[in-house]
Amino acid sequence: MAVAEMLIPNEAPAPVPPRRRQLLFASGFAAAGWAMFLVTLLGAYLVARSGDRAVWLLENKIPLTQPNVQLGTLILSSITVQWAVYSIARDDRGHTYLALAITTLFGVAFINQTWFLYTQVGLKMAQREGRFFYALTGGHLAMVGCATIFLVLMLVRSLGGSFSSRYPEGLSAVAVFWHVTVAMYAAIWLVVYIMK
Amino acid sequence: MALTEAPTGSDLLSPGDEVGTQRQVAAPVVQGVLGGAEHVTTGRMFVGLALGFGALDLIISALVNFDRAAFDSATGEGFFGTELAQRVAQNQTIGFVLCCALPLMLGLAIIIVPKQIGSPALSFPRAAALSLWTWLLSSVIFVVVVAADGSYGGSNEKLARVGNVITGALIVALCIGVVCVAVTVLTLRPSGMGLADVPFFSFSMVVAASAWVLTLPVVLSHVVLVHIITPGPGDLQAAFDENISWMFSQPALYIVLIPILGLAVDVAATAAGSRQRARGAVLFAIGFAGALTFGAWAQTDASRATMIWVLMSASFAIPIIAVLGAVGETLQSGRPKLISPLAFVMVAMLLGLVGSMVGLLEAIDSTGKGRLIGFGNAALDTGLFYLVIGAAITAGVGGCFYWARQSFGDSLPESAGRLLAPAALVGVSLWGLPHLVLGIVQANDEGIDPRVFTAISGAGALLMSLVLLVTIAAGVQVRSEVRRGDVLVADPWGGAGTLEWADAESVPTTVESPYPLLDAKGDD
Repeated sequence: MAVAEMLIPNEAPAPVPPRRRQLLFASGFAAAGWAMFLVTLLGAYLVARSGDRAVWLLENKIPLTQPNVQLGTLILSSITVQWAVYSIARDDRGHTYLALAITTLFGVAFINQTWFLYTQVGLKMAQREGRFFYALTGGHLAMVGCATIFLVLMLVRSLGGSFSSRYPEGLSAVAVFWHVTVAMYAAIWLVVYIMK
Repeated sequence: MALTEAPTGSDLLSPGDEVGTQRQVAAPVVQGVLGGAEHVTTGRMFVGLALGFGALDLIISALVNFDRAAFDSATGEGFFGTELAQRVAQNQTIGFVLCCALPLMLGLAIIIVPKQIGSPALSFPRAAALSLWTWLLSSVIFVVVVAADGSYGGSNEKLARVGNVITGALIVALCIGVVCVAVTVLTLRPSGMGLADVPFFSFSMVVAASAWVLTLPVVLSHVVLVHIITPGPGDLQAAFDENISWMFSQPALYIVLIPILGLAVDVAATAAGSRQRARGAVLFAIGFAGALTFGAWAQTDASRATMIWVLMSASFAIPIIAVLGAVGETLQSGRPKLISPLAFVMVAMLLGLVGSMVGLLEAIDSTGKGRLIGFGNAALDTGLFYLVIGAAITAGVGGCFYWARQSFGDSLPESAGRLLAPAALVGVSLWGLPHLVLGIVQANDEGIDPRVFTAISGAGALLMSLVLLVTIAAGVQVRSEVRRGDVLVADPWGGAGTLEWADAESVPTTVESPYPLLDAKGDD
């Protein structure tokens, strides 16, 4: 008997397609890579600050209001993105759309708040602190920007009916990436804004 | 199906097809080359170009070593001049890792991994194509920039910055590509095939992807950090020395060795025509090796003067020895044939083992306060780099010979492989061992003249570049013959058991064994 016939008998039933999670795993890898990128910048920030502790941020004041509001915004967005995952798992499309739209709004609001914070802080790139501050917060801002674009794409696909309780991967993927984004901001908030 | 998804067999079916049919659709040439519709095309371009860049790098390395051999103490420089020699020497490390060793393994994985796990396609094929073209463009720019007095060590301010940005682009490109490979293994396996059941090379690529994704972005962050201050050449040189050079030393450098472990086991099983026993132990050894390569934390001298670094440096030989033992056991249990890929991977494993032993020497030397023995660290580092990169390139060439049917369309000449494997052994040994010996000898005599050692090293690099050029020529020759329509041999080794050797039509939809073809043949 030929090898091919032994491997696939003609009467074999069609297999059930396995549930693929390509986007979920890819998002996990992307989030891990980006987290390493930010953790390194965070480490560089700490090393630089410990070296220049006496003069660090003497000329500039970082207000606490915006960072606190930003953290609150992102924590709320973490809840809303999980709400989207919860809703799609129950085929509740209305709530899924609403949750994704609110999360996107939170993402845009965070970007706006960061931009406003930059104008308040007034750090120059020529200052030693400026280089590390903008690299770290800018790196995270870029991550939030990418996550927001990812959210919009998943929202559009949701509106097109791509996701359901049987195939929720896109929303799970964006949720994973979003949660890592929020966790990274929590670390930045603690190190840069609280432990000044 | 979304743009981000890869087609499966069932996606490609027509209404009249019988139950159980799987089909692959041939994409138009332009779409296959530019858009990544054919993962084999994407992978083949990665492999061919990485071999080309590798040959170029080796010739440059030979020139760097000959320059040191021609050092004139009266003028204080060789034929290159001090600045050029330093610039080329430090940029060749980036070239070897990011333009040759990593993309060579990535290319093989893009070709082979989907086939090994019985998937008709690669995950995110367009992302893989993006990875290829970004990498290719970046590599070409990198070579031009280094030649034109730029990149790290260059004195042209703008081109030095371009070199820095291009290093970041290379890293991003490779990360995108390796994520595509890892996601393929993790998500596109057929029913019944668990992650522990995938062929060893595929498993090693998952481990490698994790290591690359956790390591390379750390370098990228330093690239960004230095770039945003609009750096001058001096800033870039300092950034390379303090924040980037750790990537080209142990343990981070060992990330290039991870795929070799999986490749060696797969080749040994084929050569012996039998299964690999103690799968769990071998998989653990590969995973352990991956864990030991995480070196992003050891960027400064202070972090390298710690017990953790000593232990990690000293331990990397353990998984290599474990895998070598497993390979030996497999060969002993079967009826091994001396095929050229086996020779290549055994050479690569031995070179990797010697490289890890250099790490062990460095670890011993750095225990306690100060230096225990006082080896010449710069020479030892160079020897370690050459041996590890040489091992990766040798294994990559072995992979090209082993999977030539999948990569190029037909087998490469076995006689050439049997000639090139010992040549690679001699070439890499000559390339790396003189620096290793020099470093050891410098423990007793720091003033020893290094010129003889570097001259031998340069000759080894030239020999190794010849190996790569012959491999490229053989690949081009085979491609031209395949285009003329010669008949393919299904399994040129006569004992292959993993799925990449099955014809597209005979790939089973349910797989419960890592060696389904051996099962079908009734072999034990």
